[in-house]
Amino acid sequence: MPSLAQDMTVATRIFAAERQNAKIVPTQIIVDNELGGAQRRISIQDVLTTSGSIVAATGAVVAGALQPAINRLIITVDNGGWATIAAEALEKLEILGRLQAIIDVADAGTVVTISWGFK
Amino acid sequence: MIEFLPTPEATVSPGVPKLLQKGFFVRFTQEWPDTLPQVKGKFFRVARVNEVPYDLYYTLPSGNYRDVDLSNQVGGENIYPENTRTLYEVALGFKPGNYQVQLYIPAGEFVNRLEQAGMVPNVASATLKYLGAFKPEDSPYEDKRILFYFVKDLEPTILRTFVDNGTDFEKCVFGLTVNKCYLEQIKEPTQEQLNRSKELLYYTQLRW
Repeated sequence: MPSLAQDMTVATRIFAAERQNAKIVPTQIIVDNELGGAQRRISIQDVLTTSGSIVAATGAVVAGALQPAINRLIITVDNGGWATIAAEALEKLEILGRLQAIIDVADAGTVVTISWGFK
Repeated sequence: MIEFLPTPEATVSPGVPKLLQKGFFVRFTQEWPDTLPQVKGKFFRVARVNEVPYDLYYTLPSGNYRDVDLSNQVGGENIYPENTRTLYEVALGFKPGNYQVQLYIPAGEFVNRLEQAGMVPNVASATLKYLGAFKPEDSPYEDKRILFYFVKDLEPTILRTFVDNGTDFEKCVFGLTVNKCYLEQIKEPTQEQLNRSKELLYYTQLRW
């Protein structure tokens, strides 16, 4: 099962590219803000591209398109603190496309670690 | 032909193969159309098989649908054979998700309908969207229960894939096992061979 730790030196960090025939299921998320400069807010995002489809109610044709990033989970961690979210709490969290994390303010002292599997 | 395998009521040992195997017999009914003379009313022995796994996936918004054409037409998924001596037995299963699939063959013709007027699948209806719809739990990815039998030039089979309300988007993943069967015709089968054969109905026989 893959796992990756990345500091949030930049505002957006990609953890896993989309696997086309599966959903990504995070199994653990750790936000380490012990060395962070201030309270930080981390958003776990899903970046997906839709296939072409038809609106059932109207019959309108919709072309496939890259969608705006969707926040699937937001974690606020105090300065000098940690947050750990384990598998039980993440059981229903599914990422359909690309798994990425963003931070409200880029901070080299904030480290995000995510482990994930596929479903 | 389309077949939906029910949940087994008992297990047997040794197990019974779900898919056609080498040496099995198949017979196509007389209802297969004249446009498919290579199989209409004919009897075959499966000379060899090759199981080919394949996945299809679509990410769709809630309330939208997509017609997935399994045929080799332009825009289709190319799951039909090109050789007249090949039968594709295709097992279809779904990964979990908030979606459902209604079957059409050919396009616009429902496979599953009831006899009362208007009791046909309709993804635009709050109630009829559930009529004749297979959900992922009906045919799980790991235990595929929907079987299709495709021959060259069969009319297109359409899987109308609809994402129901209650989610923003859904990823619909179809697991296919394409059991390629190379057929050898037996012109005068024995009664025992006939008794042991699998009868392949034409889809119109499923719709009355």
